[in-house]
Amino acid sequence: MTPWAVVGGLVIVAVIPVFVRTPSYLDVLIYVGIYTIVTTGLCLLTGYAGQISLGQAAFYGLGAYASAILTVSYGVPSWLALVAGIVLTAAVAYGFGIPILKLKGHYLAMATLAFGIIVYLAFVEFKDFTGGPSGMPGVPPFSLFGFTFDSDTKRYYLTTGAALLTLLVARNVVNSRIGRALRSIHGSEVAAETLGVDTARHKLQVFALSAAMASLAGSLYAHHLGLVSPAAFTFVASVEFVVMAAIGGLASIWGAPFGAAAITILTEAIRRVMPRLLSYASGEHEVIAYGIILVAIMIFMPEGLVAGLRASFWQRRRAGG
Amino acid sequence: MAPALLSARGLAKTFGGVVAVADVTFDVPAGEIRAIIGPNGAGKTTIFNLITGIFPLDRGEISFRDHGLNGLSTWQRAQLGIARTFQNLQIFTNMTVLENAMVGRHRQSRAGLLAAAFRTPGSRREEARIREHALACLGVVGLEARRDDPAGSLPFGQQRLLEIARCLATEPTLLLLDEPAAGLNLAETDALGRLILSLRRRGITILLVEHLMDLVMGISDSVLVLNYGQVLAQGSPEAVQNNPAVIEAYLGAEVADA
Repeated sequence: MTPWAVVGGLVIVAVIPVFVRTPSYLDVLIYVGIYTIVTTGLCLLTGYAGQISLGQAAFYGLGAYASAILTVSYGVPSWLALVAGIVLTAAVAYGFGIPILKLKGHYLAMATLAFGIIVYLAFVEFKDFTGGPSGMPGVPPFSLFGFTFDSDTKRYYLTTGAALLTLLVARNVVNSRIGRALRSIHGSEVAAETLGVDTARHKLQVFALSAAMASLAGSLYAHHLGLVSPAAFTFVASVEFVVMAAIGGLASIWGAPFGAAAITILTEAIRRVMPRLLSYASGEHEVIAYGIILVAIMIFMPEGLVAGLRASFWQRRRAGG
Repeated sequence: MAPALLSARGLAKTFGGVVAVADVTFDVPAGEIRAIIGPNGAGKTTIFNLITGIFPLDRGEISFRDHGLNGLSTWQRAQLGIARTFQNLQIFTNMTVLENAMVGRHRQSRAGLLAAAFRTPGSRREEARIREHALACLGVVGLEARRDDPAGSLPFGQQRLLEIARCLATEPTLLLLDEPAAGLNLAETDALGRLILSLRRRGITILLVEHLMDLVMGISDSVLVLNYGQVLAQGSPEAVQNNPAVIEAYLGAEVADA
């Protein structure tokens, strides 16, 4: 990417709140930032290392609950709670990954799915800590060095900044010997091993890194909404994250923000439009649309939205010129 | 005789009821080109998989530079200096030609996840050295012009060379080549023979599984003949070619042709 493209992108990101004054639109953009962070982690795990996770919402939830519990029940500063959440979640992913990352393909998907359900049930059942099914209200806004992110505009900059930093870290990892080791595992695990790559260790590391990113996003979510409840961390949320990563394009981390934006904006649109189209599909209508969109993208743009649109753009240019 | 670099004692491996390797003992001295030949199913590739730890041994012992390899995983054996190519190619098709060779530098580089994530000065310097050395290895096999192409776009013969370049990037002490001439034309095979000899001059010991007898007899210092998972004969190419048991089991037609 050229420096001008980077500067141009940053300027656009910086001035968006000046033009977007409708609170609900700004709220959508905050979620785009939060989901970009989770999706970037999934891109590293699935797109680069070739390992699947259907339990990413659990790590997202662990971050959110760590921030909520530590700030509300123990009065820990929010930045410290966020860091503690990341460390704890990465450690959980590492420990849990030791047995399950020996599994491959569908079996790994099932194990991560089960892990997600267990964590979800823990959020519901450990009522003394988590507040049970109704969750924990009263999570304070995030604050750092005495500055409190107490408006949507401020939180837009917080989450977008965090998303950009996450993308930067992911880009650095991708362009390193660790990134190549991860892709070599995806390409041929046996060949990677014969070149001296400790595949088990690298899988664990990228699993923990993706969990840490999900945890960061979860903490930002808790401080933005001011409330955490188990409903946000179900299996459906894990599937949404996978859909975002797949739609953005797993082969590149730059697909993550596009996938996150496409699904977040689409979800909002579906929420408003679908009930009018299918009055009897209450509650489940998003899932129907997700399914259709995912199938369509896999058929027409198997490498994701970004690669797919780029290809059709070049095709049109060539046809026109 | 020079001290053995690789020593295999009583190797045995069965898959279900099928005996792939029954009882194989051999030594490979440092600096030698040793060929392993035998009819299909004689256990040649299985021996490579046992040396690299892709399959665990049922019985027997393998030692390399006086380290027992039993119990070490594949990547640990690679870290000790054993590299291999694959009969059915295992190129990283999701990467460029250069990146494939750069993965080979993994053994000789150290930057961890955190150093990579924050692009520490040390990791950036190391990255530059990795690139430089990997390019040099592509140069040895004559692939530097294709360095930025997707590895999967290379023709078959060049993919074989890329696997060798990737191994060279690890700076191996012992290189296992599994049918490197399969699918190559005559000119490519000649070039391959010269390449293998040049690798030996660089001090790399080579263990070669190959069906192409002209190549085997032309470059090998000694030949190990397997049949039904057992050692049928071993010795110099001339001695093996004149061994009646070998002629009967395997070489007969080819020697007559030559």
